[in-house]
This record gives sequence, C-alpha cells and structure tokens, in this order.
Amino acid sequence: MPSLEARHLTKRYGSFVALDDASFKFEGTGAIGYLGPNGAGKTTTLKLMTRLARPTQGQAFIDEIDVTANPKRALWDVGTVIESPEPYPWQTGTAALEMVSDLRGMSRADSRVRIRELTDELDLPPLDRKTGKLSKGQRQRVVIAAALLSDPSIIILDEPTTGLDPAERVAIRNILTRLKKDRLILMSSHLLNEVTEVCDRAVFIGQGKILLNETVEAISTMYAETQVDVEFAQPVPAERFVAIGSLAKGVNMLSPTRYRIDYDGGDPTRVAILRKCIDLGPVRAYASATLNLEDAYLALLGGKSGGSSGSAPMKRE
Amino acid sequence: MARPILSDWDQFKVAAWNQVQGYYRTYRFWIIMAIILAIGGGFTIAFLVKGTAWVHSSFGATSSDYLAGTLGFISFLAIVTGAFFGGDAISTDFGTKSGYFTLALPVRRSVLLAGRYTGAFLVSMFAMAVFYAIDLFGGIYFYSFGSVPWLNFGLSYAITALFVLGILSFAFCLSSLSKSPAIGLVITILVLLVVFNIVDGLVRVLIGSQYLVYSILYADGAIGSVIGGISASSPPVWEASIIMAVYAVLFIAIALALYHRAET
Repeated sequence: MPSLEARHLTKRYGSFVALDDASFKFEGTGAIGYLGPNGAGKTTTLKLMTRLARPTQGQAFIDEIDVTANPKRALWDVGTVIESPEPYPWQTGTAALEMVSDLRGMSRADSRVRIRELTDELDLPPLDRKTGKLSKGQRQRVVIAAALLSDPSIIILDEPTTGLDPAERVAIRNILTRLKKDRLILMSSHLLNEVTEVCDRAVFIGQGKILLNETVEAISTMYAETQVDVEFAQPVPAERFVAIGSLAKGVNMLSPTRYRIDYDGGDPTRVAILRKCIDLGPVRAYASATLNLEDAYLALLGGKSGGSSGSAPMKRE
Repeated sequence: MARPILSDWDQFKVAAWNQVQGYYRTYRFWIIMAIILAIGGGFTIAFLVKGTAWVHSSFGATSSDYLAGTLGFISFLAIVTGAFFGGDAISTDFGTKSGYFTLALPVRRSVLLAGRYTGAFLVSMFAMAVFYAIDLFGGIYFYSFGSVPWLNFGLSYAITALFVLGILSFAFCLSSLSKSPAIGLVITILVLLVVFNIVDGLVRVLIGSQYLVYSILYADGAIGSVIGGISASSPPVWEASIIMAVYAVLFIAIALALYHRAET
C-alpha cells in the first residue's frame, strides 16, 4: 500500500523557518491537496519528500523508506513534478522521456508504448523538437508525461497545471481523477477548485506550520456550520436585515431573494435567526451554507478566524 | 507493481550515454571540432604548402620533433574542451530548472556525476583523438610511417587523457561552485588559461620551477616531451602523471561532495 509520511519535518534557512515540525501520514490511494499561500512551505515540503532538499530536523518516508537515507529506493516508484521542472534544453522531448524511462529501468519497448499513450492523453507536442524550443505549456506537458511515464504508485505534484491553458488543465484534472483511484497523489495547488475537484483530502499550511489536515468533505461541513443560507419567496431589501441585530456576525446578499448569514452561538442562535427571517418575508429555504475550500482557506489563512498567516488569499481559477 | 530497481552501474551507463548525446546535440561540440580542425588542419595545410624541406628545417630531422612540436597546442585545446564540456556540468542543475527534472529521479547523485564525467571525458578524448590523427598524418607525410615513435605517441595520448581528466575535474569543481552554467564555463577558461599562467610565471621567476608541482599547466609539458623535444622546464612523466592524477581525484571529490549536498 503506497504511503507518504512526514515526521516532524523542519527546514530552516538561517533564521528563517520554511517548514516547522510538519507531520502527516497518508496511506492507500486517493489525492491529497496541499494548500497555502506563497511562501507557506508547500514546495519546501515537497522538496523534502523528494530529496531535492535535506531536512534540518525530522524525516520523510515514502513507502516506509527514509528519503534522505535511501533516496533511490524511496523514489523508485514515485513520479514528481516539483517547481516547474524543465528537461535539458538540448534534449528533444523523446530524448528527455527516454532518459527518464532508461533511468527507471523501463525497456525501450515499454517506454515507446507508454510515450504513445501519454502523447494521446496529454496531447504532447512534437517530441522530435528540442524542449528548449517548446512553449512553457508544452514543456510542462512533457514534464508531466515524464512523471507518469513509469506508471508510479505515488505521484507528487507541485502546482502541476501552472502554465497550462484551461483545456489542458481540465485534461490534467481528468487524468489525476482517474489515477487517484489506484494511486496516492500529493499535489500542491493555488487553484482551490482544482483541489476540490480532484482531491479527497486537503492539508492547509501557513508560515511553515500545518494548520489543518482533513477530508475535503469534513472541511466543508466544518466551515459550513457557522453559515446559513436563507432563500425568500420574494425579494427582501438588504437594509431590513438590521432587524436581525446582534444575532448575525455578517450578512451577504447572494441575490435579491438569497442571503448568506454568518453567526456564532450554535443552534439556539440559528433558530432565533430563522424566526427573524420569517418576520422579514416568506422563507422558501433555510439551510447550512455549502462552502468550498476557498471559504475554509480564507477562514484559516486569510485572518478570518485566527489563521496564522496574514498573506493574501489564494486566487481562484 | 513497481519494476525491479535498476543497478547503479546500469544507471551510470544511461547517464554517461545521455551526456555524450547531449554534447553532440549542442553547438559547443561543433565549436570545439571547428577549433581543432582550424588549428590542426590549418597548420597542416600551411606545412603542406611550405613543403617537406621547410618542415624538416623548422621542426627537426625526425618525426618525433615534429609530433612533439605540434602537440604544443594540446594543452590549450584540452583546457577549452574541458571547460566547454565540464564548465556547466553541475551548475546546469542548479542554475536552471533542469535539476528539478533530473535530481528528483531515483538515481544517486554520485552516479549521475560519474556518468556525466565519463561522458565528458569520452567526448573530450574523441576531440583530442581528431587532433592527434591530424598530427599523425603530418608526421607520416613529412617523415615516414616507420619513423613515427608509435609507443611514445600512444603514451603521449595516454598522458593527454590524464590531463583531460584533471582539467575536467577542475571544471566540474568550479561548476559546482557556480549557479550559472555560462559563468562556470568562462571562469574555468579564465582560471586555467590566464590565472594559472600568471601565477606559474611569477613562481618560475621569483622562486624556481621546482615549485611548480601544484600546476597542471606545468605538468602538461610531459605530453610533448614524452615523444621528444625535452626541455629544461619539462617535468618527468611520472611527476606529471602524479600531478594530473591528483587534480583528477582531488577536484572531482570536491565536486562530488558539493553536488551531493547541494539543494535545488
């Protein structure tokens, strides 16, 4: 069963702590989204997991093998795309992919079959061209193909769709969604909807510390519990919500008939808000807001509820 | 199910072969070949124009004199070749994003380095062989096939191989200290062709040539002297070999240590 584990991973550059005592363990199959603002420690974590950097303290394990002590064995069944890698510019696409397949012990016949498959799946550019002559997006697709070439059980991706156009992103997402059924994928991304679509679990990191490690579903529920959506049968002016008074922490108009109300205080408050809403107009629906990762992200890292980072929120696709 | 882990030896062969292929795919290989053909071919054509009598009076009565004299270019060519093929061997991984592509693969860095070093050595020696072949052609044409000191000529090529190893190690070492592929290449050429010559000259004048044992440029005198044309400043073959071997081992060991610890 594939596994990825960080045990108290810490990385310091002088006095700057890039990663602070990060621990997690993922086993089995599925996709994990690794989320945080720029400089939060996402790429550092992935570098430590792939021996591109050495931990100051702690250990990284892949399939129970210490990455620092035995990187070759640990990474044997792992495909990676870290920090927008680029093949050597003098290599043609074919040469770059064949170098990877040769180093991974694939036969030339297997390699050619796999390259053909990936050419179709990823719409790879002409592979007889030098990679230095390819566009950024084309190079990125070659790099993703290299990561998937040996059909690894574990895939570690650092913002894999960076530089790709929307259609290419969708293609990569579809591939990852298919692959996660029998592989373990750890991917960092700035695109929260990408993580929502692909990942089963999300890890939030801010200022080098892991803040939350939960299933996407649980995170949505966790943050939806303090928000409620109310839908009226007819438009209700926003100013009439003054009547709700201190029960609500905030009211956002979603449409003239729909409002999202933030509250604090549990079920009694929620019931009291419903009573006030009924006074405002005929209520058609009243339910917990369905939140996405962006809300959780903003709550954790955008300073809304004690997140440790004051960084700018992540952009949404 | 994951395929069996490939041995270090097999991965070494892949790394070496890729390095060789890489050189043939870059302009630098053809630039080196052009320099070698320009120097070796250009001078040989000039000698052909001047005629055999002129060659004999200029170089000497034996093919050994001719071969030793014309091999004086080898040092320059080996330095330029070593710098071109070794000056960015490591910095290319850390000065560009190529390191993220290669270093996250399941292969030991020592294996990658050994493969690159071997690839650089093989291509460099091919370039040197072209110059030796041109030189040999002149020796046979202007003198005779039978007059060529084959054993010593072969020994000279072997010493050149050792010299190239030393130069490549030095270039790899400088490359591991630089983040920019271009800077590693330029610094290697500058240090070996300019700095070493200045320091060697100062030491020779101020202290004495017996103290030049630190210098690989002093050692390269054995490349020609082993064929003939021994001068007072030529080191004995054994001494030159030791200096070159020390360069080869010491600097590649430093390069390996730095490469092993380097982070992307």
